[in-house]
Amino acid sequence: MAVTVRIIEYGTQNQVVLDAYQQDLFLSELRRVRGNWFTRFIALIFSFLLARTRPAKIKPDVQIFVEDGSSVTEYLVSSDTVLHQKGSRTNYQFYMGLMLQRWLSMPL
Amino acid sequence: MASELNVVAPYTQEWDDYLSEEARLVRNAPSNWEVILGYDNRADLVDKIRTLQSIDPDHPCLKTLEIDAHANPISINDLSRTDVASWGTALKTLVWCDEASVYLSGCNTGLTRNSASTNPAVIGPIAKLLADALAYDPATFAHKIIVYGSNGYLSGTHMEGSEETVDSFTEYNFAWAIPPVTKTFWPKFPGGSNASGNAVWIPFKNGNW
Repeated sequence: MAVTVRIIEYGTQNQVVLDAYQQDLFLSELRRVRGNWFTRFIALIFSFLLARTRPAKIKPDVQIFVEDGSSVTEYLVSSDTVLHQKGSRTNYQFYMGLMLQRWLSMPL
Repeated sequence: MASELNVVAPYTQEWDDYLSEEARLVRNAPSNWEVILGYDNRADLVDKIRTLQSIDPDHPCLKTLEIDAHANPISINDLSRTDVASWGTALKTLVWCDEASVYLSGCNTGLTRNSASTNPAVIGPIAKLLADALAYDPATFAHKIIVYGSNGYLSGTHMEGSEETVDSFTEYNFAWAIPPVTKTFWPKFPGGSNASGNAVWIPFKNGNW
């Protein structure tokens, strides 16, 4: 099943569907940053053990939809370089967020 | 003197714990403030403020509007750099006091994005963009409005007097390494600082008055 990745400047109509090259870069980086199911599971447990210092009022910059057949996974990039899956407590440093903004023609 | 209306409007869609935020605001609201809960969008917010002004027999003018929401340098709630002009037009239809304030109570609303660009339309701050959209005009909109944006990652609200900012912060997450910890940096935006109280706010006037 073909995967489609769509990125949106959060809260605007500005959006791009990644081409094959961009999509390959993005998915590779996403896998590298998030690890496998086991590391994600441990990271989730870890996130419950640590008190979060994150203030509540941060709005994402970029919204990412990874569509694989009927399954859609949403990720959000905030403050240029922090990624989390919607609904998850775990954040990942994700410098590719800057590149996503560039692809959205948001000046860097 | 006409009576004055102070409004705080939490926009809590997609918040992890919006009920406690709304409950706290209602509990802490001074008697001269109104809390607008559960609005959907700009039109709904403007309608609700207009209703508050019309049902009060004194028909108070709007003195303070605090929008309490998720934010970044170029947007807050469903107000973003791309539709700030529409927000300005809609807000101008309200009855404002001669001198009034708008607080954009979210993270980094008074700062610009990290960017080589100098175009405010794409780097913010959103507080300045909104001030420009509410431009003072002695003939058509003779209201001196200051839009306040925050100078960092914000917690608390102006209404409660509990506002605090940090310029950046670090989280710790699990990593498959020794030690099994990695840091996630939430970076500083240009001009960000650690502050509390009124020092967290950067003012933007709506004209050269």
